[in-house]
Amino acid sequence: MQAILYAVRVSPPTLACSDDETGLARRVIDAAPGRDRAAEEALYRLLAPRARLYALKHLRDVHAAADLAQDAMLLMLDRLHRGEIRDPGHIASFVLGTCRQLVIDRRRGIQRRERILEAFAHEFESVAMESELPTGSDLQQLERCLENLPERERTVIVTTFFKDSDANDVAQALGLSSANVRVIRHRAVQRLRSCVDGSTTDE
Amino acid sequence: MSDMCTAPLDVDRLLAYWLDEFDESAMEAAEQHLFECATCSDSLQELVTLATDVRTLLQQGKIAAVMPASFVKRLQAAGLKIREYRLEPHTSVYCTVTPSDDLVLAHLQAPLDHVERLDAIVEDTTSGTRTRLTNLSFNPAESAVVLLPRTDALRLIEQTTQHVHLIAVGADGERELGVYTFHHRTGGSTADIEG
Repeated sequence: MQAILYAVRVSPPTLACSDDETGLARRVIDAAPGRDRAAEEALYRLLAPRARLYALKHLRDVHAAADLAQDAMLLMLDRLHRGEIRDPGHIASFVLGTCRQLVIDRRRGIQRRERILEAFAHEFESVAMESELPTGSDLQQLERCLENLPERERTVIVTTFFKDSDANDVAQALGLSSANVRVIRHRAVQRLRSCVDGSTTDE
Repeated sequence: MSDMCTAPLDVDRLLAYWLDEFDESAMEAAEQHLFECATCSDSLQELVTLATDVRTLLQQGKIAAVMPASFVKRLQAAGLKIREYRLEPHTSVYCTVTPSDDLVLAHLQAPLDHVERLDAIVEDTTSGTRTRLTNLSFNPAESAVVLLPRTDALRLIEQTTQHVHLIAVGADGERELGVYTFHHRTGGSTADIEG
C-alpha cells in the first residue's frame, strides 16, 4: 500500500503543547468565573487556523470548515470556563478531539451550536472573519512561477491541486506510476515555493 | 514564544496528509502533531494556500497546461464553461473564445503508442514566434493530448493562425505525429472543422 511509504509515526512525547497555548489556557481557567478576554482571543487566534485546516481537509468545504473551526473554539472556551479541562497543557489535544467529534457530528447532520453561540459567538465575530482561509498575497507572482515550471510538473501540479487528488489518482490519469507522480510533485512544489518566496524565478 | 518543532513534517508528508495518502494511524499522528506544532501547521497552511491559488488561477484561465483527457470531466463538473475543439492529425479548425467561456481546450488526436517522449512546436503566423514545449505529459491509453491555453491571452488575440506540431522523441530521433492548425478569431463563430 502506497500509504505505507509515509506511515512513520510522529512521536507525541516530543510535541508538548507550546507555552503560548498552555499559558493562555491557564489564564482563561484562572479567570473563571470571570473572563480574561485578551487570553481568550489570543488562544482563539492561535488554534482556530489549525482547527480550520483540519476541518477543511475532512470536509473539503471552505465555509463548512470555517463554521466548524468556530464551533470548536467556542466549545473549547466553554469547557475552560466550566473548569472541565483540568490540564491546560493538553489544550491542543482537546481541540483536536473536539474537531474530530464535530466532523463526525456534521456528517451525521447533528447541530449543537446554539447554546454556545449564544454565550460567545458575538464576541469573536471579528476574529472569526480573520480565520477565513487565507489566499496567496501575490497571484501574479504565482502565475509567473507556474509558467516557468517544466510542462510535466505544471500538469501534475494542476491535476493534483484542482481537486486535491492523490498520487494514485493523478498517476492513473497521466499513465505514470504513483512513485513518479510523487517525485514530479515534490520537485514542482519545491520550485513553486522557492519561486513564490522570491529566491528564484526560473527553477 | 512557541516551542521549536523537534520533529517537523516535511513537504512530502504534509502533502501526503492533505491528499489523504496516509494510512489511518499515520494520519492521526500527523493530525496530533499539526495541532500541537505551530511551525508545521503554518507550513501546511502555506501548501493549502498554494493549492487554493493554483485552483483559482486555473479557473480564471490564467494557466496554460497540457492535460489528460480524463481531467476535462473534472473541470466541467466544477461548473466551468469549456469550449472544446477536437482535431485529427493534419486538420485545421476555426476557433474562438467568447466572453462566456471560462476555458478553451484542444484535443489533439495522435497515435501515442510506443511514444517515449512527446514535444510540441507551436508556430504563430502573426507574431512569427516558434515555441517548443518539451516532455509533455500524455497518457498513451487516451490517444490524445489536451492543450489548455491561457484564456486571458486568447482574448487579447484578435486574429491569428497557429500550427501545432506534435513530435515523438526517441532514441532513434524525432518523428512528427501530426500538425494541427488553429485559425483563431476572438469573438468569431463556433468551430468548423475544415478537414
